Amino acid sequence: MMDLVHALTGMPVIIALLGLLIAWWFYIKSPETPKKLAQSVRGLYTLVLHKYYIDELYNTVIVQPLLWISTNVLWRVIDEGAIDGTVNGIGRGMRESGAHMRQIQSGNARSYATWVVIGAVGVTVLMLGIWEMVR
Amino acid sequence: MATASHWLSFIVFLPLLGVPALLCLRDEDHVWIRRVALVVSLVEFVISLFLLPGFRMGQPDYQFVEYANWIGNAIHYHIGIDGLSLFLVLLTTFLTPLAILCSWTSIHENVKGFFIAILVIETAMIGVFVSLDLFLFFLFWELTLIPMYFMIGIWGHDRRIYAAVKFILYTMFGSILMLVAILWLYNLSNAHGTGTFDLPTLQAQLQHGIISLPPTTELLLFCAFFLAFAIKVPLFPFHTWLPDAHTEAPTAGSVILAGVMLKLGTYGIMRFCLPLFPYAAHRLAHIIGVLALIGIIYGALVATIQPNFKRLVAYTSVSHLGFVILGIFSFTTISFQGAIFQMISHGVSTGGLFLGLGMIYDRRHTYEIKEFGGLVNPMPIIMAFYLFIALSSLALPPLNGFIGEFLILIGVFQYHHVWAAFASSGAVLSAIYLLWSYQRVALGEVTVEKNRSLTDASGRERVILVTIALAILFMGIASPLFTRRMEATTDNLVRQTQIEGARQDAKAPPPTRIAPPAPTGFGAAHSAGNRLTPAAPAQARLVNATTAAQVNP
Repeated sequence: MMDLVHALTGMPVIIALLGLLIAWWFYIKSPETPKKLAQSVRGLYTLVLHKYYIDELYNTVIVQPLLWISTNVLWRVIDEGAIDGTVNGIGRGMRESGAHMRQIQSGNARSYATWVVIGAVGVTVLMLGIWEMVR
Repeated sequence: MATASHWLSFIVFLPLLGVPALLCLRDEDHVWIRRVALVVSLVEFVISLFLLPGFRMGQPDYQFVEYANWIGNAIHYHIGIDGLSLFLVLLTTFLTPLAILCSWTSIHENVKGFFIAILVIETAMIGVFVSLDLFLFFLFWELTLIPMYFMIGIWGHDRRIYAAVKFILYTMFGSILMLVAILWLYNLSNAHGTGTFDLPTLQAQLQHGIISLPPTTELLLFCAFFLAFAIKVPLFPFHTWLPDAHTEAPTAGSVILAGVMLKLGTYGIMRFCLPLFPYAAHRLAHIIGVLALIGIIYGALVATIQPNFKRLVAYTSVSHLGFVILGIFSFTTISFQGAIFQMISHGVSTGGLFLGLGMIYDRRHTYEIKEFGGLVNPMPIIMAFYLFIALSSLALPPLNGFIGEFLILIGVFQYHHVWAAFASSGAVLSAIYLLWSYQRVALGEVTVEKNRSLTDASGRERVILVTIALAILFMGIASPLFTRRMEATTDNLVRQTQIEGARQDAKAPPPTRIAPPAPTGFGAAHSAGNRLTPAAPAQARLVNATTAAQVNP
């Protein structure tokens, strides 16, 4: 049991000491080694230099798609397209049906008489229907 | 205080008294018009503060009650406040002087009309919060619309007419349905005795089964009320009036809209929808909760990508008010308290954001984010305060936004784990849109040459910013001062919305999910029990209320 504890606590200490050693090697003993290393293992060097491309990966996989969806789907399609489209569409529908309805008001007195008769019949039918329902 | 029993009426109508005073001034006398409006609103704020010492904690009944016959026997002038409306009244009286101050130099045309509109709105909004009669409530509710319509339509920005018409049509559509529901309720009570519009009476009649509602009727009534309030809040998908109205309104209009008017909706839900129709509220809680969650995440995502700074802040309201709705429909003491606290806190924070935006607009006359960049260099004070307000809006402890959001999330978690998980993501998203927009607007080098010479905050603007910042800090640190005064009301609301055994209705099987037992609130004393306490009969309640008014200092 104690061995395991020693192994677990000892390991970080050894790694830290190793780090110290490498730092001393790269920065004080022979400062030209890092450059040589970078040239010999170029692939690994660029990978580490760009932090394993985590930021780039995150940006491509999560950030950009989320911004794209927010702009083009949520805002443009749902907000402005579907909801505002419906709301404004109702308004436009009202205006257009009004524009058609006003054709009835032609200024022709005889056509008015026809409309009055049609209206009277309609109201009578409606009243009788309601009367039946109430009774 | 000889007029103690009419204290609340005085608070409601004082701003209206300022209107004839303003009318007496000459049109060109801008200086005195502003001064009179400011003084009236400041006096109003001070006298509204006197509600605090008179307000008795631990008292679930309405306080400062005034009751008089008005029209016939059915319509009464009945007003009063409880732990729910107290702080909303104070929020209104707090924000109105700031709205007047921020319009000091930015309004040049029809100055008199503008300040009259603000004062009328103040009376109307306070009236909504204190009305205990459905008719009176509806009257004030509609009265808020007209001055706001003119405010957006006359003093707004480029697309102001479109925004004003959209605002009024949306809201009217909802309120017409609410009017039908109010008349229906009146008729129901009329069939079982004397008809009344009185809220406490109707509530007692419903609770005691004097008026029995078939489940379908209750659902319809609930929906009619709820739709009116949901449009006002606004709940997804009824929100599209909001970005237009907020963006096109002048700064003061945005402050009042976001600061107080949105809360008329959430207030209405807590005052009417839940206690009057608890069964329907529980039956629909799942749908409404999901809509609120959609609003939280959707509002945040759409806010993130807005190219217009003001529109961005407008969309944040959709997100933040989603939290409030979620808290309300979790039916726990703590989430109710969180919801009320979040209403107040959102009013101060988002009001503050709009005030800051207004200061930037006064200098640059644009809200496009790409026109800004590095603004912290020419105006460090304004941008520093803006950051502070933004941090409170994204719920950074120990500022006010944190308290509300946290209480709500605790309560929501007790009711529905998954909701809480999704809602928490809204907290992360709010950090994204607020900090990212702040980074693009304020940090870095000045990118647009014009911005280099902008002036920093004037004395008047510093007063506004410091006031808001102090309120934010105070609410964050001294939150128990607020929640303690809400406790009695929220406990009462939990009892009223508890549906097990509340009303045995054979036709209405209790929904599968019942409210969890009332938890002790934020430091609340444990209530005696969670059963529905038999409330006093309607008439006795009224008598109680009226005597309470006389006893009240």
